[in-house]
Amino acid sequence: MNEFLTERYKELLGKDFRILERDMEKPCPRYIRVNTLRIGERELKKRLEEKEYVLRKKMNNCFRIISSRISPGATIEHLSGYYMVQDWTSLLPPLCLEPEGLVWDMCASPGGKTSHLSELMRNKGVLLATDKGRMRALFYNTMRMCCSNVIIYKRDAKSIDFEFDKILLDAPCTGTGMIRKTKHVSDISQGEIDYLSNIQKKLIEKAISSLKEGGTLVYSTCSMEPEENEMIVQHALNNGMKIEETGFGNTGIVDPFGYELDKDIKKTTRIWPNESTGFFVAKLVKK
Amino acid sequence: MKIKCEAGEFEINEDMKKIIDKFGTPFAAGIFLKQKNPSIQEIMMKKLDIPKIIVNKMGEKNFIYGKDILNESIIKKETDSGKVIVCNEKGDKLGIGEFEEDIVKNLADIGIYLRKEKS
Repeated sequence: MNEFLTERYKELLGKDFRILERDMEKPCPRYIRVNTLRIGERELKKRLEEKEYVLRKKMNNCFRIISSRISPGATIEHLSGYYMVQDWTSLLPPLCLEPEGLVWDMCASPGGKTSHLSELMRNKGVLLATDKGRMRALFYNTMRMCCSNVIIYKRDAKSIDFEFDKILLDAPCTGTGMIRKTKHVSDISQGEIDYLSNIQKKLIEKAISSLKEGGTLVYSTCSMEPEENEMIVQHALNNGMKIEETGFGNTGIVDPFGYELDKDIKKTTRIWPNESTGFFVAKLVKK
Repeated sequence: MKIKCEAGEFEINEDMKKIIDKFGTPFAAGIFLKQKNPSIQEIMMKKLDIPKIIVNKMGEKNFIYGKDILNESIIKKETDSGKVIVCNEKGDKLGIGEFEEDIVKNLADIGIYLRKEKS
């Protein structure tokens, strides 16, 4: 972690910064999500245990890999679409959205959350998945996971003009929540945070204007920076959205770096990268 | 109904068609279809009228590495000729092959997801 991030996190976390600093040294655990379109949780666990996997249940349809002899990306079960290697934190946005009807995944590649949305929809309704790149990854992941209700477009989300029942905006971000996994995060500067924050504001404005009255928008990032999270949610509240609890704990920060944000922003969920990758999730409804 | 997308031909439903009519040709949509043989996605998702063969561990390994199946790797077969869905001993569908003399030729297999990831 560079000095810039260290100082920021000390200010945001206070004495809890020591816990984060300690956990940063530990290897980052791996998780898998069971694809219930293809197999049940119990059956998958049994099959992987036969292959000398040691698994611990993290949440419904999600296991932490304690140890494994074969790479989780190379098993027959993976190739058959029985599971996706995915951090438990990235399961939260699709669960929070409760997708149904016409759903838009605005920044969909490489397709982990897209395939999860499709699974939760039981392949019913329509799921529009857009991204500017990594089309092959998105295509192969949705195909492998047997998603049949997905339409994939190689488009900038800002070019889509339609109204949706539910929208997932898993926005492009600095990725500072991935700090235990990727070294590049150590080079993040204030300039990069501000640059991405501006993109996120434009994307959330687009999401709000594309949502039906009463529709739900879930905003998420794998960043730990308030400028990319709580402050973007504040921008959404200023633009007529109402906040709801995510159901995963009210841990949003309402006074980052001396700013006074709407008290309701406490209802967002912020997970620091102690147990997994860091993540931020907010649930918003169009009034 | 069938539709041409950037990634090939696909099967979509009425609801999807309404969206596609509005936005134009997508990269991909619905269930992927192949020209001459069923795609892996079709094999997994549809009840196809194609007989099965069951292969042993060696046959499974070779097949998902893109290789053909030798007769000695076949444990059980519903036919001796034509196209077949290749399964392992657990009943997982591994792909589609075609009998050619003493071997089952690999036409498509689930190992493509791993090979594409690495390519």
